[in-house]
This record gives sequence, structure tokens and C-alpha cells, in this order.
Amino acid sequence: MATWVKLATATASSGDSITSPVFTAKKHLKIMLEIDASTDGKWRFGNATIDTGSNYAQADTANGGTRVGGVNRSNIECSYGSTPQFIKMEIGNIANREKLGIGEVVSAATGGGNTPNRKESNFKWVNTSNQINIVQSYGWNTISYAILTVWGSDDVGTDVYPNFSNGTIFEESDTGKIYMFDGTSAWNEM
Amino acid sequence: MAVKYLAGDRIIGTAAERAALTTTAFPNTSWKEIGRFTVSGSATDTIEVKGLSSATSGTMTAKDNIMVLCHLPMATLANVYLTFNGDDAGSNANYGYRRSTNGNTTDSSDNSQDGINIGNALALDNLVVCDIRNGTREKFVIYHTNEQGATGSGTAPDREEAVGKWANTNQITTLQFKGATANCFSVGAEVVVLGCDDDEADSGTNFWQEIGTDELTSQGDVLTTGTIAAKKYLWIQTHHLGDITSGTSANCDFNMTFNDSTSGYATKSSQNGGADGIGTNTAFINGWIGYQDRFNNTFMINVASKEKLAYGQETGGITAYGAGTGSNTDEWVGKWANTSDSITKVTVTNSSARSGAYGVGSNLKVWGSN
Repeated sequence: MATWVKLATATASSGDSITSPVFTAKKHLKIMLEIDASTDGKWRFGNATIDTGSNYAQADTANGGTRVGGVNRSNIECSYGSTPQFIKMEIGNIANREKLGIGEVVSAATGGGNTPNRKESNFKWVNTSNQINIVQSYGWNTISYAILTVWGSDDVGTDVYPNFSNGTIFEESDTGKIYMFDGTSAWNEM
Repeated sequence: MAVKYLAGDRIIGTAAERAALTTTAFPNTSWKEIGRFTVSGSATDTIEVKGLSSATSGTMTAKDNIMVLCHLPMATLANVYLTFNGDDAGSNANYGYRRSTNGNTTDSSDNSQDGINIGNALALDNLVVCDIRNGTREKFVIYHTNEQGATGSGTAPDREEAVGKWANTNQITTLQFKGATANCFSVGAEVVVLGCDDDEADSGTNFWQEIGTDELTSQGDVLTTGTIAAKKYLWIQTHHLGDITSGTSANCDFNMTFNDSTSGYATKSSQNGGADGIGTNTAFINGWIGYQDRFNNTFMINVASKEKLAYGQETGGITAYGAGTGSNTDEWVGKWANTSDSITKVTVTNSSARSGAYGVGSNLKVWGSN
């Protein structure tokens, strides 16, 4: 049965962006980013390459305050300030549908004396041709530490074939058909 | 009939049995159980997770990412605090938090604390789900709480959305829930800790396993798992899709029910950060009427003898497709007040009163584990 699997991890310790490697697309995505940078950052998605067009819309609320949104954007703002932060996202990732996501952020300067801030975000990437299989967070000027991890789930797994020798014969009692196994993965009808 | 293996590398069986010889595998590279403590014997005010099977000594395996599932039935009302690695002395002041209760626009927050306030005045039954980043930096926690508040579907549960931090760079290997009132955690209270490294190896068994799924191949008004195995912890996601070919979306319901029961539900939800709406003694959970497409993420506790508590987040509900139209959001808690059955069927329904239907590809997925 399907389960959640790790799809990709990336790290960064300099520059202003962190980009996942291209991963196996799944219908259900969970993304986490831990980052320490000098500014806040933004997000973009893509299939094989990052979509930098104005194909995003979003809204967010910080610390329970007024919800603000924007449309026809070239990115998603799901970060909070310039302090170290942890961001998580859940995304529905169906190829022919707009990609809908929910993001949450916790951010705080180091030390127990600093109250954490929080942000909640909801967003979409309006591509209706492809699934997300690459993720980028950018505009962090400058990153000193970042680690990005993507998990996913759907019904597509890896086929595990029977351990039969080449030439094994299978006689189907209900169809009358006879198949020969190729020793690796295929039953060929005789 | 059973497959017959004969001499000379000959096999006899049905077409279905031949197909079943090829199976599908999924790598075990996500969250695995690294700790669990279940209160037994008598009520207590401290739950300390040090490893599997209610271990009372040792430590959990350090993992880069932690998910904590807490089912906290309370014997007495108490504030509950979360601490790590035994850092719970009264003067350590290494914790901070920020919480919003029932969508209150003014967060409750504090710093220099001796624990993360995971729930204020918790009573009866509670569900808490935490995501914790557990690298070599200070620790961040994002958590949500469903507080039952009162029994029965005449009262909707309360909800908290919150964040916390622990100003320590050591990885978490023990985790403690401390109640401020003596013996506040009832027998059966449980904390399960799941862990996953950034480079989690393909070994062991993932905690979250799919137990039910449905996907529409033609337009319809119902997504249902059919009968599924009863699991204590549920993770549910749904996509409700519109008719994309028309370029417009339509009004639909999101009415979640369990075991085909059409009574005993209550929900509290906020749409787009607005004041909470409350529904009691309803025929389903949530019931947000809105435009498609929509994506919903839900966690639930599913113990037969307890009311089933859920928290969820939803986004979408757009009146038009394209980047020129933003999506809406809904944050909610709900419950099914049944105390005699485990959930063994999850159904999401669109009522006939709506102009739309769930489009092709709409899907429901349930992962579960005990």
C-alpha cells in the first residue's frame, strides 16, 4: 500500500536560493525548509525547470493579523522576517489542476528570550499541465544555513517481480492462455 | 483456486493470480515510530517519551524531523507544557511560544519560559499534532490542538494553532508533556513520536500507511474509502476538483462523515481568518460550502470509546481559475461524538443542493496507523 516517501533533499550555506533536485512527482507533497538568512525569502515551483512567470497567487496572515493577498505574482511569500525559521507546506499536486498549498512558518531570533513569530499562508501555482517536481526558495540574501526536504505520496510504487527463472510457464486456468516469464519482469504470451 | 507450482517450472493459476505475482513496493524513507508512551495503571501529570513501548529509561533515536501525535484525555483540567531532553527546570527559560485560540486575532505569546504551552486549561479529550525541526539549530515547533471542551455534538471543540521554540542546539532525544495539575493525564493518554532524517534510509516500516483511497473517474458527489481498517491515528487528504474544461468552478460542499453516520458531528472553523463559525449537532464535519478546486489536510484521533477529534486546513475555493484569482483558506476542528465505534469508513459528500459536482480526478486518501 502506498505510503509517504522522501523525494528530495537539498542544502545551502551561501547564496540567496535553495533548489531541490528534480524529484519523482507525487500527488501529495509535504515540504519542509529550515533556513537562516539575512532577509526573508520567496518560493517558486516548476516541472523540470522553475516557473518564474506570473503564475502564482497567495494570501497570508502573520501572528493572527489581517490576511493579505496578492495575485498574478511571480512567487509565493511563505516566510517570516530575517530570523532563523522553519517552514512547512502541504500541497495537492495533480498535473492538470492548479496546485493548491497550505504553508506555515515559525521564525525567531536565537535565544530563549525571543518570542517566535508565526505565519500561515495559502497559495496556488496555476500550471495545469504538469506536476511539481522541483521546488525553489529564493531571495534570501544571504543564506548561512538551509536544508530543504520534500516528501510525497501516491499510489505509484516500484514493481517487484517474481523470482522465477527464464522460461517459467504460467498456464491461466480461466483464460486458457499460456505465458512464459523472461526471467526479469515480463510474461510473454505463447 | 490457489496457484499450483508444478515440476518443470510450470505454474497453473488464474489470470488474476498471475498478475498478483508482481507486487508494488514503496521505500520506507519517511516517518517511523521512534517513541511512544501510553499512560497505564493510574493517572499521572508527566508523560516522558524516552523510546518505544513506554520506555522509562534511555533515549529516542535522534532524527532531523519529528512529528508528534498526542492523544491527551485529561483526568483533571490542566495547562500542559512541552519540554525536551529534560530541560524543564524552573529557571531555564529556554522556551517561547505563540498561540491563537479559536482564531483570536490577538495571539497569546511569551518567551523565556520553562516549556512550550501546548494547551491552556485542557479538559476532557485532546488531539495535538506537532511538526518539529530537529537539526543542529534551535528547535522550532508548529502545532495544532483540538480541545474537546465538552462531550456530545452540542458543543464544538476549541482549536489552537501555534508555534514554539526551544533555544537549544542539541537534537531532541527525549520529550516531555507536563501537566500543571497533579495526575491530570488519564489512563490511556498517549504520545507517539515519529522521526525521519533528511537522508532517511530505506529500512524498517513507515508509520503512515495508506488504508483507504478513492478517485473519481467521472463526475460525482461522493468520495468514499469503503470499509477500511480501524487505525488510531488518521491522516486524510482530499482534492475536490471542479470542471476545469469549462474554465469556471462551481459551488460544492465538503461534508465529511464516518461509518455512514449522519448525526453527532460538530465543527468550529474560520474562513480566511474571519471569526469562527460553529456548527453543532450536525450531520457531518465541516460543511464548508465553497467553490472548487479545494485541497484539504486533516489529522484525526480514532479511539472507539472516545469522541473522534479532527483538525484540518483547507485551501482553494476559487471562483475562477488562473493567477488573477486568489484562493481561500479554512482552518477548522471537528468531532464525531460517537464513543462506541472506531472509524472504519470515511466519506466526503457534496449535497444535491449545490450547483456543482466533484470533477474527474477528485480524490480522497487516508493514511493510518495504530
